[in-house]
This record gives sequence, structure tokens and C-alpha cells, in this order.
Amino acid sequence: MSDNNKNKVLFKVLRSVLTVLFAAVVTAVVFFTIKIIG
Amino acid sequence: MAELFDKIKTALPEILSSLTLLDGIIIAAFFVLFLSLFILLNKNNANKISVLFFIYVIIVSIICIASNTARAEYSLLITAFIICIVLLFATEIKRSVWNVKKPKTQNRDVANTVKSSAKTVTYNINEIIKALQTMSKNDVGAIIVLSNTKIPDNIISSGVKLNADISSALIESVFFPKTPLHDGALIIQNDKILSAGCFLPLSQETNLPKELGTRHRAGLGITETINVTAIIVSEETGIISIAQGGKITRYADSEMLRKILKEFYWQDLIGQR
Repeated sequence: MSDNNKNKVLFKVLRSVLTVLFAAVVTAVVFFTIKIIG
Repeated sequence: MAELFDKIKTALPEILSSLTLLDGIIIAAFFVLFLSLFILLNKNNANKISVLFFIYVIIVSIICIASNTARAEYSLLITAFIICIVLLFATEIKRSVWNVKKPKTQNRDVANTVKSSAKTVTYNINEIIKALQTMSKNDVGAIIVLSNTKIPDNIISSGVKLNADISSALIESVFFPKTPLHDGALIIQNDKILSAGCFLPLSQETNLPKELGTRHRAGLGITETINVTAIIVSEETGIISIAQGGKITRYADSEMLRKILKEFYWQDLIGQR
């Protein structure tokens, strides 16, 4: 696999991880806020 | 601010210790909802909206905790933003719902329907490239859609069904200026020229360079809607462009065309033989 392809794969993986992280943080924030104010 | 932190600090252990199965289901549902939302935004190059939504949720949550806002009002503020995103990307959501099974079945469809040999595949690739290069040299405008998935019937029936073998002479004849079919798209499905003179949906992208005309917009439009590759020859400049997944690559030479044709269109077929 060339360096260019490796970078592309790495970038895709990083993007996916970041997306999951974003979703997890937002979920946690929304859930805990609802619990705290509720 | 200190009060807010104290409030969160005292509330968090209580919430964590009293988590129930229902809470787990609610968390899972929230996670799926937000993950789908972020994936949708990510696929449509709207990462700025993702970041904006992230910041919005944090700020709204802090304000609501600090001011003891009612749960209903907080939910409304979050839901309003989600509805805005859904409305903004209504077309993309519809498209992803329609295409939900396509990537998995795509190769299987080709394997079931195409019985051509590797030799025929190579011949077809050569014929397509030959036609494209001749048209490019003579500044003849053309748009060819390569597909190994099912093309919507309204697109096929907007042109003239040919169901002919691939040949450079036929492709060049279809796009010869002043002939009835030259203005539409030629659709190649598997190893057949399925239809010619077809009307394609135009891309509504506003950031396209001015030198890209309606033909390029049509090429982009179809690749935004379904999983196909469009090859466009510019009538003004003879430049060959390749559109895939709503993105266009200009100045395609024969090597690039061969690579695209092999990778996207025929690779699985050759691999099976």
C-alpha cells in the first residue's frame, strides 16, 4: 500500500472515530442535562 | 460558574448510581440518533454544522442547568436544531433511505447479470477510451454514465433504449453533433449500452467553476443521486472529466480513465474469472 493510500485510510479511520466521539459526548451531555434539570 | 460545577458534581454520582435499564435504552437511542445525524453531516461535507451543533448542545445544556430550565424547554431547544438539520438535508436523507441496500448488493448484481469474459471486458474498456479520446480530440461534447447498479426507470425511459454491445463507433455516432440523441447521456450498464439521449438530474451545487456547463452539472447530479460514475467530455475544450460521488475530477487522461474503468466498473468481474 502506498503512503498516499495509507494516509487516506488513516484519515478515514480518524474521521470515523471523531464522529463516534462527537456522538458519544453529545449523548452524554444531553442525557445528563435532562437528568439534572428533570 | 462555581455553583454550576458544584451542581453537576453533586448530581453526577447520584445519576450514575441510579441508572436503570430504561436509562440504558434511552442512552442507546440518543447515541444512535446523534451518530446518524453526524454521519449524515459528515457524508454531505457539512462538518461545520456538526461542530456548530456540538457547540450549541454544550452551550444550551450549560445555560439550562445554570438557569434551572424545565426539561420540556430544553428538549425543545435540542429538537428544534435537529429538525432544522433534517429539513436542510431532506433530499440527502431520502436518497440514503432509498439507497440503503445498494453498496452490498452492487457487486452481486453484476456477477449475476454479466457473463462476459475478461477479454470482452478489456475490449469494452478500450472501446470506451477510444471513443472518449476521439470525441475529446474533435471537441464533441459527451456524457457517459457507467453503472453496475439499477438506474431509475424515469432516467432510462427519458432516452432511447438501445441494449447494444459497446463499441467506439456507436458511442461516437450517438454524440455526433446535430443527431437527435447527442444532447443526452449515454448509459452503459454492465457490458451493454443500455440507453442514449437520457435526461439526468442536474446538480444544485453553487461552487462549481464557471467553465463547467450543464453537461458537467448533469454528470455531478446523477453521481450525487446514485452510485455510478459519469464521464464527461467538454464541448468547448475537449477536456475529459470524471464525476464520482458528487465530486468531479478534470483533465482525465487515458491511464486515469483505464484505472477508473477497471477499478469501479470491471474489477470484480475480472477477479471472478
